[in-house]
Amino acid sequence: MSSRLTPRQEARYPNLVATGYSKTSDKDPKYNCVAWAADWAANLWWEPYSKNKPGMYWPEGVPDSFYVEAYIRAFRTIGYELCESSELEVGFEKIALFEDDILGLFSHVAKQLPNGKWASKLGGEDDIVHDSLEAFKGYAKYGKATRFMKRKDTGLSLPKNLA
Amino acid sequence: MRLAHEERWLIEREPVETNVITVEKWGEEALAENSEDEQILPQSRMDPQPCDWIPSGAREKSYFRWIDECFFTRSPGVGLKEQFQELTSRWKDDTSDFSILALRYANDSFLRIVGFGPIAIPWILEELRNDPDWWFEALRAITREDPASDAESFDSAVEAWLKWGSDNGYDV
Repeated sequence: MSSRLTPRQEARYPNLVATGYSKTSDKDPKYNCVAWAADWAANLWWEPYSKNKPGMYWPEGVPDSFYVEAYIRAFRTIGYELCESSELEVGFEKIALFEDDILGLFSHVAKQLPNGKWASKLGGEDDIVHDSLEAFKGYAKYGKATRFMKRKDTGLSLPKNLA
Repeated sequence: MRLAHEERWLIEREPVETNVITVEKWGEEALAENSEDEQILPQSRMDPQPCDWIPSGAREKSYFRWIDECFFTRSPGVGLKEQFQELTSRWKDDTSDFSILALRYANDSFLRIVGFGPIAIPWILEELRNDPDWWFEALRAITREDPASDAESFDSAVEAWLKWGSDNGYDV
């Protein structure tokens, strides 16, 4: 497996190469960034309006909506709470939720690693680790990180490709 | 009075005879020129014409030639598969990194693929087998069936649709 995305993918994210990244898995359509950031779930696609759809999941009781507020509530079901910043805090796991620049909908979530870098699953494509949340700057479909959440370190071991 | 696009197109080009061909004349020409099975329409009907109202995808070839290739030749779908592949490639390029499938389904290329209707079924199944992706909504929309309704995972949904294809005579 190459440690880089394809040139076409790199061109999509104009700031990714400049801020530093490495690819950690090949593409896999089975799971999205939400499942990945939730608990490194690699066999489910978290999405609203997905009840009874194969391979998909949305927490019971969370409203079906594509706005970031619904995703905040979804992450609350697994212990996350809103916090002020993306700064690394010992003893806490953090996630950064993105809103796109076009529709203002939830677009992406990245999870902070113990070394301060960020793990992202690019939709149904590859997993990457990127040095900065600025990695997607200039890519309107992802927009920017607008909300941050944290929970106490669960001790959940990292997937092999991230450890 | 506003005219429909088709009416305006005909009137503007009168009396250019090749554009306003009668059914009778068309029949005669077709009989005369139909020695090749592939050529059902007379050449005059198939020549590219400047038609502003024609959708951009069809304009390059002329609307009639496009219709002819799609529906009146011995090999229906010639040219359509290439369009399908192009649309599939564009759909994946434009949306594969989306975290929301609903937005992938709202994509113009995806909707045009669904618009192909049943002719696209074998190609979608082929895609599903060779490069699995979230094609299930397209297949459900086109076939109005849902063999994956009880599937518990992405992989089992893929399997269910490939089995459906096999059971329904598609070469998967």
